[in-house]
Amino acid sequence: MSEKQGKHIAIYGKGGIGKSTTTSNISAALAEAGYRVIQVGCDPKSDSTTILRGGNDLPTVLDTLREQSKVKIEDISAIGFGGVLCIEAGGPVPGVGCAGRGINAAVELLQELKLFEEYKPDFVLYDVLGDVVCGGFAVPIRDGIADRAFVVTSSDFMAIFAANNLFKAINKYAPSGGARLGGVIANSIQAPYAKSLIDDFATKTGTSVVGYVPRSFTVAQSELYGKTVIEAVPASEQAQVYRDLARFIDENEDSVIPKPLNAPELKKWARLWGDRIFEVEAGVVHDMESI
Amino acid sequence: MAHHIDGSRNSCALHGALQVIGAIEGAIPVLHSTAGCGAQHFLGVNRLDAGGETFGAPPVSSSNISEKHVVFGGGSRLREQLKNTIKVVEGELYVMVTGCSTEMVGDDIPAMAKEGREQDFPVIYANTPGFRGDVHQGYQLAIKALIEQLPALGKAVEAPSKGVVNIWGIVPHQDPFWSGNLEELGRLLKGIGLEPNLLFGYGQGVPSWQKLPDAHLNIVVSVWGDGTAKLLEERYGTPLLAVEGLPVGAAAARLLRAVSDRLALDQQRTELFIQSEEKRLHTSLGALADTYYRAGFQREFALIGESAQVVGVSEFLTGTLGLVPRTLVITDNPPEYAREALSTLLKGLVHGDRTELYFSEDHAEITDLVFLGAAELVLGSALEKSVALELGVPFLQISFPVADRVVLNRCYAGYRGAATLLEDLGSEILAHSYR
Amino acid sequence: MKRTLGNFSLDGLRVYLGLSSATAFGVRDLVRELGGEVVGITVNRLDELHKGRLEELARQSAEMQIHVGDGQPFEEINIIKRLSPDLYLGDAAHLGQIGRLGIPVISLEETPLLGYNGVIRLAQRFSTALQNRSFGAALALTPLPYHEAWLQRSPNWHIKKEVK
Repeated sequence: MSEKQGKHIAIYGKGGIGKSTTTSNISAALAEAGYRVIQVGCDPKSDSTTILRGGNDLPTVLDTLREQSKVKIEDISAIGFGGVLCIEAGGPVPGVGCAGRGINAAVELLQELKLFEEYKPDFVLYDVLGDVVCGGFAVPIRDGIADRAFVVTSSDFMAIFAANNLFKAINKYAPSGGARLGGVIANSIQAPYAKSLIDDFATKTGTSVVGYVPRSFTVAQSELYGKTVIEAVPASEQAQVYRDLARFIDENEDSVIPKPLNAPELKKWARLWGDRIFEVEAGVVHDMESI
Repeated sequence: MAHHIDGSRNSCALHGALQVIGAIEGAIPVLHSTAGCGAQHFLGVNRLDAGGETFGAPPVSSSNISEKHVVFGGGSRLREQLKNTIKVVEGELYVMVTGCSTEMVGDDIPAMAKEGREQDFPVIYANTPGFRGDVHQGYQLAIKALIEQLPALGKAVEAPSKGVVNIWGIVPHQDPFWSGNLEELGRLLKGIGLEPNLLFGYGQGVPSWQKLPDAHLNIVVSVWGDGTAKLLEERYGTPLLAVEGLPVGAAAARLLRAVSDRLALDQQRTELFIQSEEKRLHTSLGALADTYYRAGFQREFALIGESAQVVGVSEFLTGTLGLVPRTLVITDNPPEYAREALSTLLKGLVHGDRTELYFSEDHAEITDLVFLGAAELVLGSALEKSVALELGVPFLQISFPVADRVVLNRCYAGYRGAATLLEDLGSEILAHSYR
Repeated sequence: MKRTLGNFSLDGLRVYLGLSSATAFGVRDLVRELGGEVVGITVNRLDELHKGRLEELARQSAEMQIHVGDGQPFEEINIIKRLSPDLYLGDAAHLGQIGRLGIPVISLEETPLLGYNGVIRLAQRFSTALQNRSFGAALALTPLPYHEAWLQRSPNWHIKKEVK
């Protein structure tokens, strides 16, 4: 691969955690700040960039690849809010074929088409289905693709579990040139203990939280209009949260190799938090308790 | 510990399955995999097997899937391939077999077979990705598929015949003399009044496979037939009889007596038949005797081959022909439990002051073992030709791959096989001494 | 030589030789050197050249059978069956018949005795022949071409009868 154009960032997170919303808003914020941005959705559901392009149709890379032997960038991309170039890798219908290989094939095609050399982006954001179920979903964090990965998580145990799995993947690939972890993005912060729980997980795994995104009706509302918060309600507090995140990603290049918890450790950790949350709900008060 | 294997003679499960299907008259394989799988089989097996293909190099229909089939699933590609194959290639049974990539993707092959059957096409399938094991696993997987799915095709079978016995454990082509060996074992079983069901080779088609449940006994001549015989025992209650290896010469009498015992056959008939076969072989030995001593046949030998072959051939060479085993190499990678049994068995069967038994499928390692053993005679595969040349000793190709011999009905099993082995080995020794 | 041959010896073994006169006496020495005892020799002919060696042999072991006869296998078989040696060493045309008696046979035709290597090869042949007697046992299952009665008689029986 020729010299890399722009900063390549992979954003992972368990399905339904708000990863696409977060990524799209970061893309929008970066574009608003004047950067050239590409967002690549790496999820067979292919709805990563919907709110960047007003819900308009966009043929996926893989669908196009299936239909025609020669694919041009124009066929598989759309210009969204602020000039963000939107691409959806796509994938097979659920239960058929191999979505992991699909991600691999799509990313390969983008490189073959010299997308990055032609478009000269400042940022490329890969929005990846975060369960890292097989090697295909780890493609964006392998050597030569993304430099940094961020993980979006809520305080739900299954989201944390998925984040921990991503750490395992990074742990495997980073030593051989793969992406390192930029940090954790805490999303849908609502419950009183959520922040502490995610902070604690970050500490335990040798990482840090780079932003807290509160649960917000503004987001839900904007999505219903097919827009990012940055576009729909630019003056909102929520929009500012995303701008701060975007600035952090732009200005801060720190990254680490996380130390994932093994299965018994994770189980023990979760049980501890279960007890704490129960005590919070039941009103038990301990001295020196940080919750 | 993982280690690399140099020049393995054991190809993959898919190939084993193709070899099974190719050896059944009227059975047509439909390969669902990438293009290389069929080509590899042609280059690595068919092409090294002059005369070994019952029906000429079989037309292997393949879905030759590409990346889009991996990503989106190859079901529709297979459907198209299956339909076209049925239209183009004449067959009584179409067997879909899968390679690694389609199994990784998880294409729904059983559904495809069902779909075919709903349209009244005789279609079955076997899941045979190479990652499930080597050629011997493929042999078992394909046979299992045939046993389990053929009844679903629901064809009427004629009234059960009397005295049917099935023979298992000879992997077509992996034993280069499979067809002749099966026929000879069949001839012997017929000689004691049975109706052998050979299942593979000339005259062995789908009806042979449909009558296998009628068998009174499943005879197993290698560890690779164990699973099948056990499956049939569970399914149809057919008893099984496992013998030590491919019987060559006198060992055939043991097989015949054991079968005769088990099925309570006419013992006198069995003994008379054995007597006539032995007499014939001993007459051949007598005819050879002067040459045997003059040319000094009695030598230390190295034998490289599959477990059943090493057992059978070394027993004959040692127990009847008076040769002395030096280096025995078993190449078919038998399971751990079978290795111990094989070691014990061979210790009892063959004797030599300096006999060494090895298990290896690594060409480089085998070459070293044979060279260091410095036997005066080498029996092995084409891969051992160079080390035999280096040692400057006579060499006979008897195990896969046999590259420069034409093999049609030649056999090295039973009494005829013993005589043939004597002819072939003797010819090599004489050719060498006149060189 | 002793070192290369290792533990190999013909200690206590009774050997019969069937060779040309010239070779037979040399091989007899070798057999003795290896610890074996030559119990009989068949030679194709004898002449003045061998007279000295022959007399010496007769002096050394009066019991040793010396059979002179070219192309008279029935006599040789008769003698060998009677002597029942542990090993036969020779280049006769009828080796198969001797093998049928259950006696290990080594042919010198394919085992040239020349020089040091020749002895090593011969020792290897001794070793394999003594190790495995199964071929002879298999041969023994088919009959010899002679009447049992002949094999019970003196090998000179037919000659005496003709003279009378």
